[in-house]
Amino acid sequence: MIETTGPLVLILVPMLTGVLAYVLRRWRSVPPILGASVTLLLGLILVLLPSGQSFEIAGQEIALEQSVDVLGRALVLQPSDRPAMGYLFFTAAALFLAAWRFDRGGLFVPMGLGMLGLLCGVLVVHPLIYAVLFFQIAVVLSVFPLYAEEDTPVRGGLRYLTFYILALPGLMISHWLLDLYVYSPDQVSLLETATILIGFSFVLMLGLVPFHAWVPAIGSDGAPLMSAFLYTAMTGGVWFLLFEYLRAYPWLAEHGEWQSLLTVLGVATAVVGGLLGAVRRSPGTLIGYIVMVDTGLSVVALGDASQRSVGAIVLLLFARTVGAVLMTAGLEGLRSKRDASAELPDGVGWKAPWSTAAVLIGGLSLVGLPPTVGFAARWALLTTVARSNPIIGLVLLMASIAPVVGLIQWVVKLLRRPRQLPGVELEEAVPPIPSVREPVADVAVLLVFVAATFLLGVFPQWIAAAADDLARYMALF
Amino acid sequence: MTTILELVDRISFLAAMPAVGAIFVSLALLLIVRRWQLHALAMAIMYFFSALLYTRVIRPEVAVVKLLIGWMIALTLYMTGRYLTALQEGAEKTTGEEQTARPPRFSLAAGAPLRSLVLLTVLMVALAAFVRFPLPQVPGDVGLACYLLAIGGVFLMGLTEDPFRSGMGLLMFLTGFDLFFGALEPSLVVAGLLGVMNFLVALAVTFLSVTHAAQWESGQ
Repeated sequence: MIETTGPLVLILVPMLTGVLAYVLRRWRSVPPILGASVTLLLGLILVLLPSGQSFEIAGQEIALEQSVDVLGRALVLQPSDRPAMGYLFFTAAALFLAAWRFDRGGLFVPMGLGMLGLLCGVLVVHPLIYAVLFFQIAVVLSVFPLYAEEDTPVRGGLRYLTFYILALPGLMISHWLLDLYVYSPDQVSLLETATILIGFSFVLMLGLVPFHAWVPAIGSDGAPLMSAFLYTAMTGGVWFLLFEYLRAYPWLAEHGEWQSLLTVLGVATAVVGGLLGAVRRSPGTLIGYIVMVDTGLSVVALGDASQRSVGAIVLLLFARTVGAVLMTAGLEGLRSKRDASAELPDGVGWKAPWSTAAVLIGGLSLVGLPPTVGFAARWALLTTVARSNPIIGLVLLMASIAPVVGLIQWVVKLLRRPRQLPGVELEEAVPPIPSVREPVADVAVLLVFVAATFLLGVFPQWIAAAADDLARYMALF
Repeated sequence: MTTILELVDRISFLAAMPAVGAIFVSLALLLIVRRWQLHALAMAIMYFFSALLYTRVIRPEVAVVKLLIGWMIALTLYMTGRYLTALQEGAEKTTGEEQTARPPRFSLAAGAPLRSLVLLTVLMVALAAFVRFPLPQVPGDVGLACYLLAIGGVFLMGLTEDPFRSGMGLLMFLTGFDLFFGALEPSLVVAGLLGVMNFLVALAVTFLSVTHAAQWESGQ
């Protein structure tokens, strides 16, 4: 029996499936179903297989925990990587399932699988410099499916690419500075410079104010499902990378200004996201602003430097996936057979009630209203923050629910009958509402996500346990 | 027969301040001139002289590979520029618009005086950074080139939201960083991954430019 090392399998299988999906993209349903099945299987293996146990496929034994060297670099699957990777695989499975019915570009699944392999690489490769490079390559790849539909503005993608490329030098150079510090520990300035570089890079990658321009922009002009991938799996990748940094360099969190700096940045991001989310009527942009609020809340919680706060951040990340997938799938349903960049006409909600309901429920979950899954996650985070500072907790609560105003305004527009012009006969004055087809399969997929939103909202402990596991294994603080 | 490495050795006298000067000239072309052909040429020049400077910090063989990747990127940009021009001309014919007069071969971009000021600012900022924060592990002229490339790239990105021109700024910034980091981390795997990333960024820029042009065309 040949023994194969595990972590490499977790990188290669999604990538090879991505190649296969690309080859088979002529049959529109095959790549999403293939992608969803493979990622679901890998996610289940990671979650259900007991730690240290191997399994066998086609005569090859696969030991996930066994470390492997590739070109002299170690790939190690640590206990905390399991829930993190499980999250990535389940998120991808959900998005690929939605892509089966709602993706129009055809590049999302193949590229998404390739990016997923790279994100798994980010978690298992050591030293961190390679993780950063893997992550940046995944970022560059994400631009292609984001604009797979032609005739859309590309401002968001360009900004996204720019901000992430600008973040690269800080992470790479800090690695060299910290290596240097090991040999000359009396040079404290090396640590200070590295801290500034790492901090600035993560501010760019998380889209904190004032470097948030890319966050709403990709929601505004990118393909909805790919935007959801960036807001969930890729943002999750940034958080996991940040946790890896905090684990590798624990003195980062011991900096004297750690809590105050994160509180200022987090509150500013959440408040800006909340206020702008309240006045925007474009659903894609609205998701971006809600993500900004989430990020702001998470950053404030991270300043708390406790295991509880890490668990709450991860739970919010998990919960965001369900809402984001539901909202973007509903949005694609509303836009079916329509120009991607065109604004949705008034009253179209009546022609596509299931998609409209999906957008509304997904949006409410993202904003964190009960009884959706988003509520449990936001509540956990807000209570964590309010415990240490009730006033900031109150400010964040208000910022957190402000985007509801934007969401309701947009849903009202969807449901508003086209207005009659004064003094003109009804038939001539009111433009007909364009018809939108909602096939049974589309509705079934939407219902799966609606059920998940409410079920996980009522029983949040199912995902809270995984989030707690991740926080415990990380053992950051 | 002369090998590539012998050729590199023969022109190695350029791998100092002349290379920095050439990089500055290419930056000036990118900032001030508006013809895309000259932009592609400027990128090719920039990659050539950056590769020469690479030979001072990494093995010449790796520098040659970096040069090849750079020229492939310049070629990709040239083909993209050509495609975009054809697309624009096609759109003008379809809409029946009178064809705008073709700009003279070495015409300057609109706002050339402002752009010249920006170029001067880039030079001043790069010189100030070079004096105030000299880069470790690299010779002085290489450090200055790194600053010129990185700061010039950032300015180029900030001046426009056109993916083609902004993307060239992105590539320029990456080249500046790559030149510096090559001296810090001599690992071939890192050099390879950075090369792959550079090329992928060039493809992404091309892709965004074409999509942007298609959107502009449909807007017409």
